[in-house]
Amino acid sequence: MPKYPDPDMLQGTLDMLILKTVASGPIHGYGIAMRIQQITQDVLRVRQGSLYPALYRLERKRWIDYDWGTSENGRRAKYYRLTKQGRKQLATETENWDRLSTAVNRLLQTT
Amino acid sequence: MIRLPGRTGIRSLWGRRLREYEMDEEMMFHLSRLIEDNLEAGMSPAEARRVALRDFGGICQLKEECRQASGFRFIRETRQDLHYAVRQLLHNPGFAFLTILVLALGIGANTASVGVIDQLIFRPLPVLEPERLVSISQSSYLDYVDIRNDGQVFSDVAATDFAGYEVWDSDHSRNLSVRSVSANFFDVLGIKMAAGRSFYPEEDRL
Repeated sequence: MPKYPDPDMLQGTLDMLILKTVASGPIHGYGIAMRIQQITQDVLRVRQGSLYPALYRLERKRWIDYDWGTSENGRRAKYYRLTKQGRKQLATETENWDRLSTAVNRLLQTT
Repeated sequence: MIRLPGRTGIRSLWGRRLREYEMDEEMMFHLSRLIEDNLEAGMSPAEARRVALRDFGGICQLKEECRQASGFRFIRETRQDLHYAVRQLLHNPGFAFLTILVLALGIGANTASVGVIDQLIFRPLPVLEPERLVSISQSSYLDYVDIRNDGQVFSDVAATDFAGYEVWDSDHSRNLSVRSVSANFFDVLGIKMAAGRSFYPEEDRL
């Protein structure tokens, strides 16, 4: 398998990516992995080995919850959705990320 | 009024088994989607399955990581259950008092009867015919001689008393707590010596 940047690289980045993906409506684990891959145009690939432990961790923190639903192919699937606390957390993490990336960019762009 | 546990109660009672089941189903769903993708990409069914399993990685290890990631939930649910129980009891002090009273009486009666049965049946005194043994307290040596010589009531009578002795060992002294007994003490109790002999009758004459 080709090497992709691992979203786990920066601690907490994966959580933020998952929260953001779940924020746009109920979605199952497979869907989350696919959407992250599509939107980042294959730059970020979330492996199952990181995705599911992260989902269970976020659920424990009550940032996401789930319901069982029927998927596009007619199978029963676990659909995750953002909770109120999750929405707050996503806002905080997005803000932190903006500050961090702006700072890093600024540093990199100095000549 | 007694309220039945609601959704959270049921969820924590059956929680662990349900979570395992849900975890399995979730992973199987993901795997089936990977297989479908591979089939669409033109792989044979066998190959599609093999590649999907390879890409998915070790399922057992993944499940264990997921369990750990959600681990503290069990503790939290137990705490919620305790809170719920205490709240219910406070809500209904009469019922709580009755429950505690019934439990206390039940446990107390059981403990008492088990204690007696334990002594009588399961752990009799380690002597011959313990049911025929009686103890007479606080009698003098003369009483003892009288009771023994009377011979009407008891088949035999032995005497015992606590005593303290100071023992010298070159230049150290030690206090020993001992029991002085009449020569027939071991015969009365029916205790056999593992080695050596017990006292001869003439050995306890004053």
